Amino acid sequence: MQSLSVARLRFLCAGFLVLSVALSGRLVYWQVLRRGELEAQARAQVVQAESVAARRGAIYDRAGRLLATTVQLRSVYAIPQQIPDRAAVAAALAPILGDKPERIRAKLESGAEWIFLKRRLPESASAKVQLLGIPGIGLQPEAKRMYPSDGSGAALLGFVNDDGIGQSGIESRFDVELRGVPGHLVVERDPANRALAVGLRELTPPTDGADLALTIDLGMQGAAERELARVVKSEGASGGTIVILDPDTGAILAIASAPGFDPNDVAQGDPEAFQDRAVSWSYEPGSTMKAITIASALEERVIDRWTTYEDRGFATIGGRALYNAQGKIYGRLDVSGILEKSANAGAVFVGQRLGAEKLYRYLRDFGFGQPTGVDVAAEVAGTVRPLRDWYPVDLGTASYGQGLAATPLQLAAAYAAIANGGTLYRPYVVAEVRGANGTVRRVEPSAVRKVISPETAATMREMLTNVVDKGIAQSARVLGYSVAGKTGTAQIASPDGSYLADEYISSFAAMVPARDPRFVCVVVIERPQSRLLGTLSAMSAFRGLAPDLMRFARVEPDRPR
Amino acid sequence: MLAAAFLLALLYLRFATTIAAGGYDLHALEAHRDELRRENQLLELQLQRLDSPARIEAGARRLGLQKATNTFYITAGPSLTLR
Repeated sequence: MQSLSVARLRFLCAGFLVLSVALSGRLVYWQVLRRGELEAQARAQVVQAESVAARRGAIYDRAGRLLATTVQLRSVYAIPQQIPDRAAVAAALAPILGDKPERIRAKLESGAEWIFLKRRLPESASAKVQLLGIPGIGLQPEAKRMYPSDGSGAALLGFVNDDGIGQSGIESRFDVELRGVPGHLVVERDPANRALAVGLRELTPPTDGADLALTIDLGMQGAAERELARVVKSEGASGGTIVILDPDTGAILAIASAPGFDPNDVAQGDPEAFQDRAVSWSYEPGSTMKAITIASALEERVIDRWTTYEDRGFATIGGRALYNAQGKIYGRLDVSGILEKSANAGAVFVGQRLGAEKLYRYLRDFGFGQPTGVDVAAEVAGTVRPLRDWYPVDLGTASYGQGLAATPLQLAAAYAAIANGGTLYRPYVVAEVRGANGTVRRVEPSAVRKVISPETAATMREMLTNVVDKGIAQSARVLGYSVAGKTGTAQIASPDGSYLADEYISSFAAMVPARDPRFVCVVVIERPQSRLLGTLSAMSAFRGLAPDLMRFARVEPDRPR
Repeated sequence: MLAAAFLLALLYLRFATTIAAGGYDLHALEAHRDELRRENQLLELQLQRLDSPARIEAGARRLGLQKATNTFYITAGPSLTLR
C-alpha cells in the first residue's frame, strides 16, 4: 500500500514537472521569442501616424486688409450604429443641414460605419446640431478658405478646391508658397482617441504657408467693381473689366472683372466668371491704339506735333479704302486733331509715315503680342501677327487698333509708359511674400524697357488731354483734375475671320491727373446695348471712380473747380 | 518587507494614475483651446467682413447717405522741429 502511494506521488510530481516545463516553455516562447511580434501588435493598436495640416497663408491688400484666410468650420458626421432611431434623427437634422430627410436617412442606412452628412457648415448651423446632442452624431473641424470681401477681386484672387489646392488666380499661381508643408505626428492613443500622456509622441511640426501682401487697394477695388457693375447693368452688356495701375511702378491697384462670382460659394458661380478678363481675355482694342501709333511716329520723328493732313473721310492703302467712323470728313487736321476726332484716316496717314516695320516694332516694344509677365495665372499674350504675314492693308488697320488683339492689362501697361515718361513696366500684383518663419521677400518694380522719350511722352499726354478737354472724350472730364485719355470702339471678330454685325467692344483708357499721372485706368465694356455709344458708358465708369481714386490717394486737384 | 513592497506598488499605481488623469485633463484643455482659437478666427473673419469698404459704402447708400462731392485740401506749411 505504502509503495503504491509513493508511486502515485512520484507520478503526480512527474506530471506536474512536465506541465510546468511545458508552461514555462510556452511563456518563454511568447514572452521572449515572439515578444517583438506581440509588442508590434499592441503598438499598432494604440500608435497612430497622422499628417498635421499646415495653415494656408493669408492674402492681404496693400493696407493690410484681409482678402483671403482659412478658418475651421465644423462638418457633421454620423456613426450609424450608435443611432437608435435613424428616421427621427434624419427628420431633426434635415432643416438644419438644408437637406431632405430621406436623403439623410439613406446615408445613415447606407451600411457605412462612419459617414459625413454635411461638410463645413456655417457656424450657426453647426451650433444647432451641437445643441441637439444626438448620440452617434458628431462635429469635426475642417479647414475652409474664406474671402471676407465676398466677391471683391474674386477673379484675381481665384479660389481653392475641397483639398485646399488653388484652382485659379493668385491662389493657383502662388499655391506652393501659400500651401506650406504638412507635418507628421506619431502618437499613442487610447480607445477614446485621446493621446496618452506618457505614451509615444514624435512630432515633425508643419511649416505654415506664406502670407501674401498684394498691391491691390481694397477701396479702389470696391470703387472699380461698383462702377463696372453699374455700367454693365445699365448697358445690358455681356461683361467688362476695369484695370487701375500705378504708372510709375506697374503696381496693379485694382482689377475688376464682370460677370463676377462669390469665391465663398464657387459651386454657384458661372465658370465663365472665373476667368480674369483683364489678363485671360483679349480683344481688338480699336481707337485706343491710335495713341500708340502716334507716339511711335513722334518718337521716330516722321511726324511732329504740328504735322497736318487733309482728311477726306477715308484713306487708301493696299488698294483698300479705310473710312472714318460714320464716314465723317474732318478737313485739315493736325496730329492732336486726329486723336481729338478719332479719325481713322488720320491714323492711317500716321501709320503710312511710320511704315509697317517700325509700327510692328513699336507694338512689340509697347508690350503687345506677348505676355506682360504679370504674376497672375492664365495670362494670354494677345495677338500681333508676325510682320511677314502682314498685307499692305494691315498697316492701316493696325494703326487704329484692328487686326490685332490685346488684353486690357497690356493696354493699361502701354498707357502707363506714356504716363510715366516712356518706360514700360511689368505689371505685378504681389508686393510681398511673408514666410511663416518671419522672412519677407519684397517684389520690386521691374522696368522692361524704355519705349519712348520723356519729350514724346509729354507731347502725348498733352494731346490726350485735348481729347478729354475738347475732343471726343469730353464725357470723361473730372471736376478739379486734368484727365488724358482716349476712347475706343472695336468690332468683334467672328470665327470665320469677318466681324460680327452690330456688336462692339467699347473702351476708354485714361491717365489722371494728366500733368503728373498717379493712375492709369482702362475700362472695357463688352457688347453694350447702346452699340457705338458704349464709350459713353465706359467714360461714365471712369468719371464715377476717378474722384474716389483721388480721395483715397489724397491727390490734390490740379485745376480750379 | 512584503508590506513595504505593497506600499511601493500602491505609490507607483497612484503616480501612474495621476499622470494618466493629468494627460486626459491636458487633452480636454487642448481641445478647449483649439475650439477657442477656432471661434476667435471666425470672429476675426466677421470683423473683416464688417470692415469691408464696399459693405460700408453699400450700407451708407441704403441709409440714404450721399458721398461728399467736394473735398478740400489744406497744404501744411514747412515742418518745424520743436525743442
